[in-house]
Amino acid sequence: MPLTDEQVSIAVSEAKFALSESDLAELKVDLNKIIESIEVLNEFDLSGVEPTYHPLADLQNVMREDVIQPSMPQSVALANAATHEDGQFKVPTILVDGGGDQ
Amino acid sequence: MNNLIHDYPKLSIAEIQAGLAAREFSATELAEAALMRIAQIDPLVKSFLEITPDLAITAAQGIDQAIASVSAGSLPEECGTLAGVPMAYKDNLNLTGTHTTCASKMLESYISPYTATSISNTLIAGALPLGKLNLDEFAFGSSTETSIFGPTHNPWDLERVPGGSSGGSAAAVAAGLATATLGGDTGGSIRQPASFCGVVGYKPSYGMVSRHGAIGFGPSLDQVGPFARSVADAAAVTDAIALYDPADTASQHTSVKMTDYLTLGVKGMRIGYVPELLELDGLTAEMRRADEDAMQRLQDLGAVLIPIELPHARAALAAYYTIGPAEAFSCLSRFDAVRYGYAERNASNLTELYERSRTQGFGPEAIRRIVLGCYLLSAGVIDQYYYKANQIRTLIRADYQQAFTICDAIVTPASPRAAFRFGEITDPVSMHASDIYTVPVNIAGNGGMSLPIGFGDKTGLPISLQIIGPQLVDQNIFQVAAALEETYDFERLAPMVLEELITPMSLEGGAA
Repeated sequence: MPLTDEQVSIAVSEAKFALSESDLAELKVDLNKIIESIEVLNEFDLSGVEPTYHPLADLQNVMREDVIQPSMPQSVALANAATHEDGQFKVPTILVDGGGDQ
Repeated sequence: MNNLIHDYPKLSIAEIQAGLAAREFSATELAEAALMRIAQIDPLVKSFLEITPDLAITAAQGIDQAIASVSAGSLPEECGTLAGVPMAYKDNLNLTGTHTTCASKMLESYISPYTATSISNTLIAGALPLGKLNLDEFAFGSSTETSIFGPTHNPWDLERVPGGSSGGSAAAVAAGLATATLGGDTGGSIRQPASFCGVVGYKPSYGMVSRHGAIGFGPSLDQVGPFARSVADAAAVTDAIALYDPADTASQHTSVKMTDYLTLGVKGMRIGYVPELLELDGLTAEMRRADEDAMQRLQDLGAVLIPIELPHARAALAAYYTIGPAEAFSCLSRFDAVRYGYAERNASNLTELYERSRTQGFGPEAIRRIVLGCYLLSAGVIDQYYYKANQIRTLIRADYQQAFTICDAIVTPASPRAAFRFGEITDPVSMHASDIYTVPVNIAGNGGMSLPIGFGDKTGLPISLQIIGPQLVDQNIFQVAAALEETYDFERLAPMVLEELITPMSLEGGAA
């Protein structure tokens, strides 16, 4: 099923992008070509077939011993952040429309 | 020194180690020769995004000091299996203190705070780190054309793409800039560029090589693997990096050494081929002729060729372009402009920060795949594509398991065609089709290798055969590849960088 303008807009917004109208239109054309190419998935009788989510079918719940490991120093962990303050990552206002602290 | 610059690209890993042991050259001289070649040749090939001379020279000096402590003719025990081997790494692998850009504006300024286990293992084994190599942005692509730093050029024909996404890793080896490199393969990103550049490219079985520190986009598909100019060199690098790592939950304990399987021959081995895959529309005639000739050579060596079926292979591309984007959407959501990555300074709230930074930081192909993945995972759609793609994965895995009950290895073309020209393929679906022979192997989790088998009789460009092994029985791949490689005699270094550029005059210029 080809994507509608609305479906493209929702996916773009959910994926946290802000695209212009022309970029959205171009993206819709490309996405619909790709969707058309993956329709072959619907040509197979898959009733009763269990999905496989990774290639090591027997592997699940890999655990390690609960012991403290060396970790990255705070200054190193912060070094790539655009802004930080008092040893913490700094972000702009989280809530908008007057709903939160500035 | 001048001789070493000229000869160094021709040296195998074994010859480098023999030369070091015999004191014919030092590791420092090797590093200097490699760096000088990069300075001379890479402005044309454009495979490196960052060159790390200090790291290479420091590593080399350490090796030379160790060597000085033992008598001539031998290497000290602390010298690892890659001692003195000039290597370079795809720029989505972290190496402490270097930029790790993923060829994206998103990570243009990012400096690695730690080192990927795969790189670390090569350094422990003694490799000399020359630098970081170009790729398609975040490994989304098959040509390196989506790198924000501009494309890498194919050393065999500078007007053509080197393949992708690990195009820089393939081109650097073909141009004799590094003896071996590391790349990553989610749907063919090692094997397809290796094929385009005429070098050996090997994607290990899922779980053999740690992905810790590799910035991948498809955790159920990704593997790290080597590029080299010979099967023996690829085996040596594989043995150094295929080690258990608790930091990668998929990491497997494997004790097999690929270097033990290089001289066993293929007499009596059962080698499967898929007649249906040789009939695909996109497969060029020269590629088919070369592949059929390679199969004849295997038969002449005593292997038994067995026609097999992989009935669900035709759904593999669709499964890949569903699972890949879905996982990419999830993986790349970590780029929130807070902890690292490109950040728009003037955002007034957090949502604006996310949206502006991600829209500016990611290129069109990355945005396309992330949005596609978001859509494919949405309520009401997930059952229609993503769930079915993973059901198809069950069937593709079963096809391989069935096939490997009657054969020890499978051969297919590595790519439908030889390297294409820049800008020749612009439609995303057509670009995706260039991965048709490689993606089923990632879906199933098996290992696969591109082995150069000469040149197309029409295009004159490098052509490869793909050799696939049973899951986690990758020694079969090396056994077949080493035997087949022996039957060919052709130059592995691209001639234009081998002959025309390395003139005495340019050497003097470079040395000054």
